[in-house]
Amino acid sequence: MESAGAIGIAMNIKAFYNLSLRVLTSKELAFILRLYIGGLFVFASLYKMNHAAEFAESIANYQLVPYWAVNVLAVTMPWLELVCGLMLVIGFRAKSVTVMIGVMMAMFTVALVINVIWETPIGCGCFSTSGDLIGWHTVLRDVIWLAMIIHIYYFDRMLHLENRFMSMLQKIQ
Amino acid sequence: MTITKNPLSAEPHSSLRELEYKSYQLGLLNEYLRELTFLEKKQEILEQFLLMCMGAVGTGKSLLLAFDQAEKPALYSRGFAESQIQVLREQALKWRQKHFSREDIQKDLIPKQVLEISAHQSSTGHETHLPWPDKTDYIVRWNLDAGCCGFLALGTKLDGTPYSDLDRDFLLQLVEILMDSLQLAGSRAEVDKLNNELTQKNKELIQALNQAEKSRENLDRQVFHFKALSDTSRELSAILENDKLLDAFMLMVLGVMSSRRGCLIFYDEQSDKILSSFRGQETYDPASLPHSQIKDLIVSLYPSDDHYTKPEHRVQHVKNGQLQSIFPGPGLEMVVAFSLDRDRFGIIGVSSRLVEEGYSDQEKELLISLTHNFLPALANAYSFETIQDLNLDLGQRNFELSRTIEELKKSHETINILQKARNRVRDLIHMEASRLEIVRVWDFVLIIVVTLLISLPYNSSSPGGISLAPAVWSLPDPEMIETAEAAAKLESGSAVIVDARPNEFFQQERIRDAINLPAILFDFMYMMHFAGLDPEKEIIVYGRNISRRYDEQVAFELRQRGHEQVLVMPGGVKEWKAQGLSVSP
Repeated sequence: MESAGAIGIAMNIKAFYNLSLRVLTSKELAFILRLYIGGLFVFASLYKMNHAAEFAESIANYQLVPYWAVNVLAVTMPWLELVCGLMLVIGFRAKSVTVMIGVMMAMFTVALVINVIWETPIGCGCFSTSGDLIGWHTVLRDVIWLAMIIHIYYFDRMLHLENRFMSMLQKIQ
Repeated sequence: MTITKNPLSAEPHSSLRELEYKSYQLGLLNEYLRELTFLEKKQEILEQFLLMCMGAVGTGKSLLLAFDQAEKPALYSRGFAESQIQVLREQALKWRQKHFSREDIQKDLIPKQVLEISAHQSSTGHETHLPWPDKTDYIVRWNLDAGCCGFLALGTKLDGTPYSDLDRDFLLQLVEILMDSLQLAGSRAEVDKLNNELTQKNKELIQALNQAEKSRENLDRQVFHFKALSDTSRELSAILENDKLLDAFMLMVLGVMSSRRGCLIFYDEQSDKILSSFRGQETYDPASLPHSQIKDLIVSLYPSDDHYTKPEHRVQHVKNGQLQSIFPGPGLEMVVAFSLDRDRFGIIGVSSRLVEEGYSDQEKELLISLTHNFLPALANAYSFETIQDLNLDLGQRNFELSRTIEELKKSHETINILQKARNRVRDLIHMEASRLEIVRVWDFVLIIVVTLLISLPYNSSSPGGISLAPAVWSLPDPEMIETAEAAAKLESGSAVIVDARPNEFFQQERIRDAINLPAILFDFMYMMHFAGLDPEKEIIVYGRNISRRYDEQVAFELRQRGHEQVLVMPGGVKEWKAQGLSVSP
């Protein structure tokens, strides 16, 4: 009886594992994550693009960008985030955009990690100039987001504006 | 026993009378010989001889029996009783059968031999006794040759005396004369016979010659007919059109038959056509002929459908009487009806000949034969027509087929082009689809370009826009001071030190006694700490990192406020600490 119970549990575990694997690797999940990450970037860009001076200070606080590039970065970075976020949400050149967003997120994470190690007393500057100071929790948050981006890279194939058009063409022939 | 006696070798001591008698006998012999040689017929000779013998020897009874190849022996008698002669005749018949059936007996006989035999006894073993009539006194057997022999029997003399040697010699000589005469007569008869035969043969020969002449003529004619037949076959087989064929045949028949005119009408019920050919003088008008009657006439010749194709019925003679009512004017003398099959038949007729004589049976046969030869050619022509029609049809179909093939080829080409286009489109789509899956450098370029194109104009037009170049680039170069020198000045108290960094950094670590004056909060902090400061007092400003040059900015602001002695210490906290100077906290 015991062994049968163990087997039942094992089977349940296996079924659960299979189910969760299927859910985790599903394109639906990837789609949701895509919308989330895309929305996140769009949201992050909105404030910064209208407050370039403040954002420039945030960049400067990280002490990683040369002084002559800070302003350029402060002007362009929010727009880059906006464009990438929108493209990711609508699914246009999603793969490349995912890579781009992934690279940005990785850069942010590295910058964060460095400054956390240096113990620089600065705010994150991710969404607005105000906010909590940076720390390992912000690093963790970024790492989670990075994982999501990787998930999107590998499993996202739903409801792409481009693909929709293309799959129609593929059906025709 | 044979006794041959020369009458001249009789009694040597003959008297004159005897001589005279002999001479008389010789004279008789001579006379008889002459007489007998004149005679031609055997019977006459024999009869005459019998009379001569009787007269010469003086007897009233005589008998002459002659055997030859004939069945019945010739028997001439005088003076003997008729009954006895009859008996002798029967016996002679038997004797002859016996005698002539035995070849050995005949072989023993010597030709041209005479011998006396006794009247009442058989002289030799071979002789069969013949029942000589009574009063037979003297018998001579004569033997001309194997096929002719006989007996001469004489009765007693009238004067009652026996036959003397002289008489016997004389008789023997007489018999020899008889034989000679018989032989002569036989030869003559033979000659006559041969002559007759010759004449007969001659006649037959002449007859045969005439016959041969006739046969030759017939042969010539037949040769001509055969030639005509073969010519017909050859010439007609070369013609492949129906009407021309009919014309040619009509002409040929007229030529062969040497007729004045002829007509040929052919009915094709299948295609409801009437073909006709009229040749010679005064031809008929084809339209005026009573075709239904002619057709009925022809149909009446074929009792059933089978007869149309039977060889003996395919070509038939038509009796003249049947045609007189149909063909007006001088009628046709010889008409033949013919048929190809149930639906195709016709007649051919010829009128009187150019030569005097009429048509013989041979000409009729010839016309039939010619028509027989004509039929295959006609059938051939029909077949050729059918073949031509089929050929035409085939050509048409061929043309259509080749057109279809052409169209197919074109379609094929179109399909090929479409196929190629389809493949191309598919490849493009495939390429595009796969392009979606890959990450391309151009995408990054595109995103960056788009970003720049939007962000830079937006920044320049936005009220919150900032200068792209760092603010310090637009400031005049400040006066610099080394860390050690600054430390000395601070030690002497001739200068104040200002930390230009944001407050967070100031709070974290600063040079001892430094006053925080961040650029962002400059006005406020200046009011708080420097309002009362002597403008002549030296101010040393520090605080810069890779991203910002706070010190230069603050130094510029201070100079704007009227401070003249503003120095920038680029070494900052880092160098200060490195030289072992004190920091706080």
